[in-house]
Amino acid sequence: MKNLNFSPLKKLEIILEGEGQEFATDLLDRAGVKGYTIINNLSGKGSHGFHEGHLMFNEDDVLIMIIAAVPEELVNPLLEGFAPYFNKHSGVVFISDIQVTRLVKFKG
Amino acid sequence: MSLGLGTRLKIRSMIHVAAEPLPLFWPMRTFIHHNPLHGLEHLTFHAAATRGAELFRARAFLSRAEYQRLVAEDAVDRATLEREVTEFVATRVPLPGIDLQAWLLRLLTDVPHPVSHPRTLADSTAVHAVLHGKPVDPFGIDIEALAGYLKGRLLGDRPVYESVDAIYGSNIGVELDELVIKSCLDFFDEGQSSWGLPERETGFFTAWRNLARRNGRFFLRGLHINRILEQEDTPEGIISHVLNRFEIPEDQWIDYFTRELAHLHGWTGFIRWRAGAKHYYWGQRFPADLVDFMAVRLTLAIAILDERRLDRIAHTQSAIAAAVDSHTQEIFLRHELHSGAIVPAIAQRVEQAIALGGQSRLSRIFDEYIGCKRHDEAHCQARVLRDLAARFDASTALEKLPVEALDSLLLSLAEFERQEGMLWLRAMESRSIQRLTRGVTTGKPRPREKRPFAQALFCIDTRSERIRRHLEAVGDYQTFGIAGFFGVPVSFMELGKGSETHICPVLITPRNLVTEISFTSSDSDVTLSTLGNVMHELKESVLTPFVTVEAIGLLFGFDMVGKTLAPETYTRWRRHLHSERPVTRLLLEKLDREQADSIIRAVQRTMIVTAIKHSFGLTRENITDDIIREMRESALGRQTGRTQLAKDLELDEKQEREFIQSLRHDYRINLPYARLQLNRLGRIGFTLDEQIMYVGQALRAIGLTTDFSRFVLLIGHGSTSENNPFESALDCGACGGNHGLVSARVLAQMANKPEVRRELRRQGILIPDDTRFVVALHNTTTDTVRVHNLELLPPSHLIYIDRLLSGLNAASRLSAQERAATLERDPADKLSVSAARRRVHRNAMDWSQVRPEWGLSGNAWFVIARRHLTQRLSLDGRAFLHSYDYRIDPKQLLLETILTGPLVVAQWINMEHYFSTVDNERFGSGSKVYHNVAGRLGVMSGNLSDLRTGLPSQTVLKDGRPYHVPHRLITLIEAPLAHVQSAINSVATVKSLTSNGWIRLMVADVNAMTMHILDEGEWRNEPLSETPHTGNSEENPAS
Repeated sequence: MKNLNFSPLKKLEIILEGEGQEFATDLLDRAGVKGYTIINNLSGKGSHGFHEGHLMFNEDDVLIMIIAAVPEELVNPLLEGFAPYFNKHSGVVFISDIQVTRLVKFKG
Repeated sequence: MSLGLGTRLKIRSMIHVAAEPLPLFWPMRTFIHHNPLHGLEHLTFHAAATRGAELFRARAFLSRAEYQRLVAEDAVDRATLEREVTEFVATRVPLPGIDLQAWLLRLLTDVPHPVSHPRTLADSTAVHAVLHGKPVDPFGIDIEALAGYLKGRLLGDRPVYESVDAIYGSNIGVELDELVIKSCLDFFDEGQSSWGLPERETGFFTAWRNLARRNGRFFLRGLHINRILEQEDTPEGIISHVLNRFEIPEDQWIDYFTRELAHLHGWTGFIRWRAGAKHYYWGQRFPADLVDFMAVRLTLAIAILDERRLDRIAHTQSAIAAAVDSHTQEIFLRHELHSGAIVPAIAQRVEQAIALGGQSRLSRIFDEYIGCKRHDEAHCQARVLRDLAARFDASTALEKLPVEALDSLLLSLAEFERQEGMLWLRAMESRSIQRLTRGVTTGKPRPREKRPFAQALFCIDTRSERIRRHLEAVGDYQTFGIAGFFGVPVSFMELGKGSETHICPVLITPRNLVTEISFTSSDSDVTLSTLGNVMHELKESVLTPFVTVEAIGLLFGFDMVGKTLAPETYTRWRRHLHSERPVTRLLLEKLDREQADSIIRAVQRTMIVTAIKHSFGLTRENITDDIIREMRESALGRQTGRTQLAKDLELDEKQEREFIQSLRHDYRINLPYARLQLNRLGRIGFTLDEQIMYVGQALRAIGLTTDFSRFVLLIGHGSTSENNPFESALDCGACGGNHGLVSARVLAQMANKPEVRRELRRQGILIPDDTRFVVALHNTTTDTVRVHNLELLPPSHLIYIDRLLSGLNAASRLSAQERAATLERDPADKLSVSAARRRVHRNAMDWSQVRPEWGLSGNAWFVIARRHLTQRLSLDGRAFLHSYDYRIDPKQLLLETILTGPLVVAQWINMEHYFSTVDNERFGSGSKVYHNVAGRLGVMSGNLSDLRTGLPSQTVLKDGRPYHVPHRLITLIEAPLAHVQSAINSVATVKSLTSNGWIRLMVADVNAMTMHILDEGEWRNEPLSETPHTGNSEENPAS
């Protein structure tokens, strides 16, 4: 196996209502984030009580998670951008340090 | 200067949040019923109604006079009204000699207009003086307090030009709205105008900016747009620049945006919807969002303010504040004059004094005006109070009240009138709740001896209630209610089109695509499993555009793009034009890999032929299969070296390389694109497991799992009317504003499949071999039910067809007769069955008919129960009926699905009707008579107005009075209370809708013989009385 080069990035895990999906992905696109993963139908408990993940006929009212790996310099602008939204809506953003091997997929 | 990324994103986010209280607006072709206050559903109904009234400058309740008429029509429960008044009085201080309870009750039922008058300068002392025939004291006004009052009115989140208009009567708001609407019409036009704004593909703001810089319309008005636009490149930058110039503090930006957007909430709602609709053709082609809209609006606003250039007109927050401080008296007088609050008797003199100016003149008129206004307000209030007291012979008691008690009385009256709307609402709801409580059947039906002759699944739509009732009465029919997309969300591609229509509630995005293919074989036994037979046709006509148009549509010329994409606009039109459609079937099966590959290869071959013809002018017969294969391999990088084509045409290496590059890039013959095409093809159809899941789920959701009849009718619905931009509003809401036939066809095709039934049998749903799922369409304008694809029935069933059709026919005629009466001027005029039939058919074809049917108007109840619970009740086509058997749903999963899907959609419908009724001008769209179609996407009133949202007056009003009875949706669920509570608690949305009072909830527990009613967050119980079940049994023997 060839030697792998690890590059540090930040991982954002954004949990929000399904209704806000277009808004959130639009913001990520405009910030130049190159890709993200969306997980639908989350179940869990938060300040608004329990959310069921198996709603069959309503995608607006389930929670989703958007996962994106971004260069560090995008973290603050993104958090600044999301702030007005999360002041009003339930949801959270987790930020963690990660490493990737193919930086070109995430940056530039 | 450019804004940083973080700030730009923040502005976008702020505008997103600011727009949320305003409703979305879907293009009229697929009218979506929507709660206009959906964005305020996190508040209680009352709080949202108050906020909404303020935001939309609208009424959130009917006028008292209208409620009083409803009392006369017995739509209001007086006992509830009395109880509510008692509860209110208990919170107030008692007054000597005044029976507040009696006063308030009489006020509600006998006095048509509100009695508390707005008083800004007259306090209770002044009213007291007038009541005792004394002069009103002169008034030493506190100038600082007055300045504070004015700042409260003029600053904060109020758009600056609005404040300027309120001070100077400058009418800038009107001019601004007009310019913004014209800009929107230019950009968002969907083919109505013969001229299109240039460079629309660059986006709304950019295209508008490029044109605005040279727009004669603006120069003529003296607007110097350039000066503003050159300050910043991005829309976010412009927004920030303008708000900073206005000196709006950043913590007020969101509220400021909301107020700006509320000015044209129709356009705001449309642009907001469009920006989020990823599949919308026009949105993809010409992108736009609310940030663009806001930048355009603010640019124009500041340009107009600059143009007025009247130095006297302050147009920053600090300048307005300074003007208020330094010229308090003048600003007050101006504000009174231009906001319409001025006392009429002195208005002309105030206007003259302002025009002439001069400090001492203004001071004199100010003093005079203050006295006059105080006197006027006190007299008005005193007169109304005296009239009221006279009704109770309480004039003496009123006169005896000391000032403090009078103050308390006035406060009580004002507070009562603020809360009055909710009182009426709850009293009306009580009446509707009683009707259900007293009408339900608690007795169990007799077990059936044999299966019903036919079972029919109707949409939960309120218009199904009548025909279901009549069908059950004319023969051995069992009916069920289910959301009209039959639980299968599909994206549908109609024959001859390349565009998809989402046939499901707007809450979901369908993942599976269903295409229609023409089917001309005379052999009726051929089913779609013989996919190979239709592959050729598929490749040529249906799927080619589907996999290619998106990226390389222009290759086929504009004509092709127009034919495949633009017809979305004309869907309805064409339906009328092409009444003779070929017989078609739906392609529901998944393509296998080999089939998908062969489609992609065929598309690539077509591309190569087109490319060769285009580049080298060769004719088709000179392009051999070998040449095509070789070029394809070269383009895909699987072959190197000289190609035969290059040799034949004597191309040099460079020319050959360029051509191959062009095949890869321009004609998209490359592996990544082929993978994308494969993905798209993968969306077509349903796997067998999905089909089994959808059929099983639909049947279980309505409690139909055994004793299937020979015929199971799946009845979609749609309407027919002519010359009606609102036609889609009359179609099926559960099908995204389309008719419900496609959904019925999809489910029937799945449920008739032997493999699906085999697996369902294993799961305990026994569908006998002789059961056929048959598709029909209920036309809600004429009440006819047309059965489709009869030719697919096996011969064994043909002998029963006559009985089936005559049963349906009888039910539809009786239903039309019952319904036609509601369309007559006097509902007591009952037409004969034949006359009613003629009447409703004429409605469907009459170009001048503004009310072809009542649609969902009148909707009041949502019943989630077994049919027999409400079968005995005639609910006048006003109830959504969803079949549900709690006994087969121990984990409440089916109930959760019904609550979060159909109930939420029904609540939107109910609220749309509610608000369109209580204020048709602001929440509704006014009279259809004045509507003009705008840009092929909506309607305007007259030749220029905001896009009209909500329902037209003809849908909810009759002779200018409410036809729809506006109250919240009363939802009845049949199940034990704990069962329902558990379901509601596990879905946050529905929990919040019920606890915030957007729907009223009742739970019928027939085992405990109790009706539980949720009232202001508390459950209260009422015993149910024994009512035996009579007539045809609905219950299946085994259940």
